[in-house]
Amino acid sequence: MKRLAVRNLRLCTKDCICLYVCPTGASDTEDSIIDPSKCIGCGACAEACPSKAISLVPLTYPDQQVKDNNVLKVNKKLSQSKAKAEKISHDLASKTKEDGLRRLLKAIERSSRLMNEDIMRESGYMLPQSLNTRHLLEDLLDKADDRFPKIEAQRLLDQGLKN
Amino acid sequence: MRYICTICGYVYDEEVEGVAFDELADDYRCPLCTAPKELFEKEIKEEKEEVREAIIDEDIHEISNGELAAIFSNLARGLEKQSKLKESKDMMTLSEHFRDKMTPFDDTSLETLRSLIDEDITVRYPNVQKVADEKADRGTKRIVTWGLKVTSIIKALLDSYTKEGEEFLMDKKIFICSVCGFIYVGKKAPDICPVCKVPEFKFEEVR
Repeated sequence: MKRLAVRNLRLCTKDCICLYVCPTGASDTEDSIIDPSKCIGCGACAEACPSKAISLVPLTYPDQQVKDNNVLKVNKKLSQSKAKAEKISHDLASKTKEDGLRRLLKAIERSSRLMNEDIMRESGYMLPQSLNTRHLLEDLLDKADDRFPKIEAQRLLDQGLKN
Repeated sequence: MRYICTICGYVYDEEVEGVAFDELADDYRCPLCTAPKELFEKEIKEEKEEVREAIIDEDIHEISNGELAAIFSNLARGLEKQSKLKESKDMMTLSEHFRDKMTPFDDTSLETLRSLIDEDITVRYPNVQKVADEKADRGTKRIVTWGLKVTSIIKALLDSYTKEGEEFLMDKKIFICSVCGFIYVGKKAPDICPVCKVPEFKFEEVR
């Protein structure tokens, strides 16, 4: 399986040992993103990095696990509740004059979204490159209204999510 | 007797502390994660009678705007981790589109928020747990483990706010774990997340 090196900038401490060991100079870029057109997936940089900031990701992702229909149904109920909690917290936070309550509601808004994202990962939307994502984008483009960000959705379908 | 915090696993050992758990003040809170006293359980638990059938609605209707917002922000995070920053930005644009499309709910109020959270804890999470157990879906079991704890803390915080008002948050900061969503009220963020155990730098202050 062909793999590519990616750098986690949150861990990178700019020791730059990857620059010395990379046979093609793929990690020597100004924006700190390892150049996928140069990377040959040898893993030398990942092994050498003292901060463990580089890992190898597969170039093509495996198929997603199929989710049971009943799991999807109960997850959906939970997801809708989290979405509603997020929206209500947001709207209440923008109205209140109490600083403590405003901060608490903002935290609940953010937390509800984080939990909802977790639910979505287990509802068939784990991988951006998956067929589920592709079908959803195609479906949304089909029935898009004027305000739907068509350019972004089309760009993702055409290039961004290519395996 | 030992009492265990159901959120983070902190152990209150009556023998070590020298004070019976029941004699602790009502506003006693877990020293690690600030969970209130009622979220502690006796170490030897009575068997829970819980053979309830999961409630499964038959109709899966369209995906709502709120769900789409979460789907796309989640995929944006995935792309960010793959160092696909441009693609991640496109995904985020889609997420924001659907978030902004959500219309305010007619029943917007703190009471509604509280009952949503309550029903998550008593109905929706147990439902998901039941089905995930039946289907041996490990990933889905994990979201119940974390989500239920985070939701229980949110309920406890809302309860405290209702009881004490602004006083409860006066001179205190609010931190959120950027991984699981756990909310911590205090002077500084905890060393590790009591729920998902990531280190302190994953916490962000909510201002």
